[in-house]
Amino acid sequence: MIYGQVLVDGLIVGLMFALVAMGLSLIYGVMNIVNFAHGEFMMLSMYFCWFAWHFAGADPLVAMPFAAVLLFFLGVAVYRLLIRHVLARSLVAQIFATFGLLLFFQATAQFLWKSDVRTIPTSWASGHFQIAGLFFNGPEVVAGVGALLTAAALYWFIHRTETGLALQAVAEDAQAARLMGINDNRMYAIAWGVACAAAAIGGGLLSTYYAIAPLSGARWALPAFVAVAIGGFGSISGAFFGGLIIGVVQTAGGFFFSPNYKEVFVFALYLLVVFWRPYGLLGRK
Amino acid sequence: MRLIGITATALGIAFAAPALAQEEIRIGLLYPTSGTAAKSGTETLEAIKLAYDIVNGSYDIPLPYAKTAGLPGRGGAKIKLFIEDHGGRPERGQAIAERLITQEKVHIIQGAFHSAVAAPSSQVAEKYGIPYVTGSSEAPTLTERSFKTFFSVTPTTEDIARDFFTFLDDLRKEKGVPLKSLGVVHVNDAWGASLAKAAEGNYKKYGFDKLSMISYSPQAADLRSEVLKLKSEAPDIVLQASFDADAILAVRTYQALGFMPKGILAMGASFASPDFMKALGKNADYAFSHTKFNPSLIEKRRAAAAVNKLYEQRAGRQLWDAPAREFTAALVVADALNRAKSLKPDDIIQALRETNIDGADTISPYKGVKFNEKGQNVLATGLITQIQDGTHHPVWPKDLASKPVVFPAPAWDKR
Repeated sequence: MIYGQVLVDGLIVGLMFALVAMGLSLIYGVMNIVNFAHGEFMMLSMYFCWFAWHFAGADPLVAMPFAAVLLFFLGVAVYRLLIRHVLARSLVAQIFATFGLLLFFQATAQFLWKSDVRTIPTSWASGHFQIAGLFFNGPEVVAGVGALLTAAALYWFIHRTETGLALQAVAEDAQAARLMGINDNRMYAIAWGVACAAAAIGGGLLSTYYAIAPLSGARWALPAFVAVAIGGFGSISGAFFGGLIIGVVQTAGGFFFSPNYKEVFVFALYLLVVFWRPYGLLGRK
Repeated sequence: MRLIGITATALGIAFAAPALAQEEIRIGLLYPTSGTAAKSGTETLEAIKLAYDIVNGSYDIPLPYAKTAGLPGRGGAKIKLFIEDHGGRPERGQAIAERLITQEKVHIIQGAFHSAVAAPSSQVAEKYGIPYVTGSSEAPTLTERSFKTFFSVTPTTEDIARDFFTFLDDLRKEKGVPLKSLGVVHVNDAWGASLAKAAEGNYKKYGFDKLSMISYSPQAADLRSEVLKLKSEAPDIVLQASFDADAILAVRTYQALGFMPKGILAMGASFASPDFMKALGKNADYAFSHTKFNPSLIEKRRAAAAVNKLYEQRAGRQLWDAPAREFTAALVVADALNRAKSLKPDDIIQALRETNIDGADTISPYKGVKFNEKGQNVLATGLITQIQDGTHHPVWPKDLASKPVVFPAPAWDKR
């Protein structure tokens, strides 16, 4: 039974890593930029849900779509004001831009809202239950299912809609896409918007049970980077499976060996993947 | 004969002089009023200033040296404070200690809130042979250096662990519940590790035969594997050292995975913070914390109510842990200065060594103040509080308890 619990727990955490990783991978896939501030967009969404709950009594699950819309536009704005200007610059300039963004959001949150830990004590998702001897926590199950649905929606958007296909075209060859009449600048902005909206949904789902503080998002982003690398940079479905793998490996490694070293297993797996398939499990060369 | 007479007169004047002229006692205060601990440091400093004002002035409070103006043993001598801000930075604290001693010629230094600042600044005091007293820096390593000049009034993390174990032993006897296995959940930093070390060194002595150690990174996104591991080891009792956010996450994960030990004992402030109780509601109930001050002491210590009132006028809030501890330390300093044969460093140190204050004459839960050869107060004990209906109530030691203890804690779904 304990093996089942380890597996279930790993998958539930993994789904959340997967959602974060997919947003990261979308931006990287389309414009080859690593967004270090991705976790901070989640954090902003968590605070949005907290304020909505605190001042309007809104359940985080209700506030979440609003956070997603808001962060879509924030993502677009960040692209237009910052990222656009470093697109053609060196890799170092791009890294500094998004890493600077991370520091900016974290420091602003700390300045405005202090480092106090906030929580939303109850939500529609609250409660816990047992099925066949396995323990489930309501908010985490809701978060897992929400992450899964969002992942499916993202996949559908990329592979089945015209905008998604245009995004893929830009990712494949921006110049050729431009010749076909696709506005690549607009596509990049959409990629940022969609990725940030996905981060907002992740943040909203987490806010039903997770402590909200300026560094809350960063805790999720680092493992998500590894998920992207394992799955293959730029591959949306690779990021999804990478997230799941990390969740299970981390939980199982921590349980069967020592929780102190649970990240070691994740990074060891990453090294294995890098040696065996340098482009990740589902990545393209 | 005449020569002898003059010499005798001269000697007489020399010896009598300190008693005739009003002495001025100079105390250096080394605390953070800037940096990350600025707020706590400022509030702590207010309590210390209040203590010395009470000594200097005449107050109708049942505390030693309150009623008389100045120190009666020194002919009513007054205390002058030299207040310095170290901002939480060890090297700054060290430089300030140097200056306080060589330039301001202070007789004694009181500091420093941060153990990391107390360590180097007390090193300077040791070098010059000037006494140094701390009321809030609780790293056990400070007194383990066996300095001649260093005195710690506060309980150390070692003492906190000892309090926990004594409390558990009392519980075992009182409730007839066998407690055999112990789990320690801690963040993997120096503070968390000091609890782990103390638990490791003591668990057998206090009748436990199994110890499970779970350490985790404070940056961890989730604590499932930690809690699953803990659950599979099923300890009777969990000792915990966590920060605010991970304390909340840990308890939520305990609940989600159906792990409920008979009791959770938390070191530090995380389980005592309002955020913790707000986040967890009734699931925060029955957790134990270790503290050195609780509003219920206002009833139990005869001087505490009056002191608390004066403190509130200055600081705008009630006394809490660190200010109350440093207030007590200031009175220890005043007591030693009052008894010292002279204001020479060695005489003050001797007086500190001979300190013997009853707990009832302080505002702290300590049994009293008495230093061992390393300068550690051996009578320093804390309070153990239990959250009941969203409020911390002292449940141990018995004479300071305001509510009976609830043990073992009821299961999550029976609350």
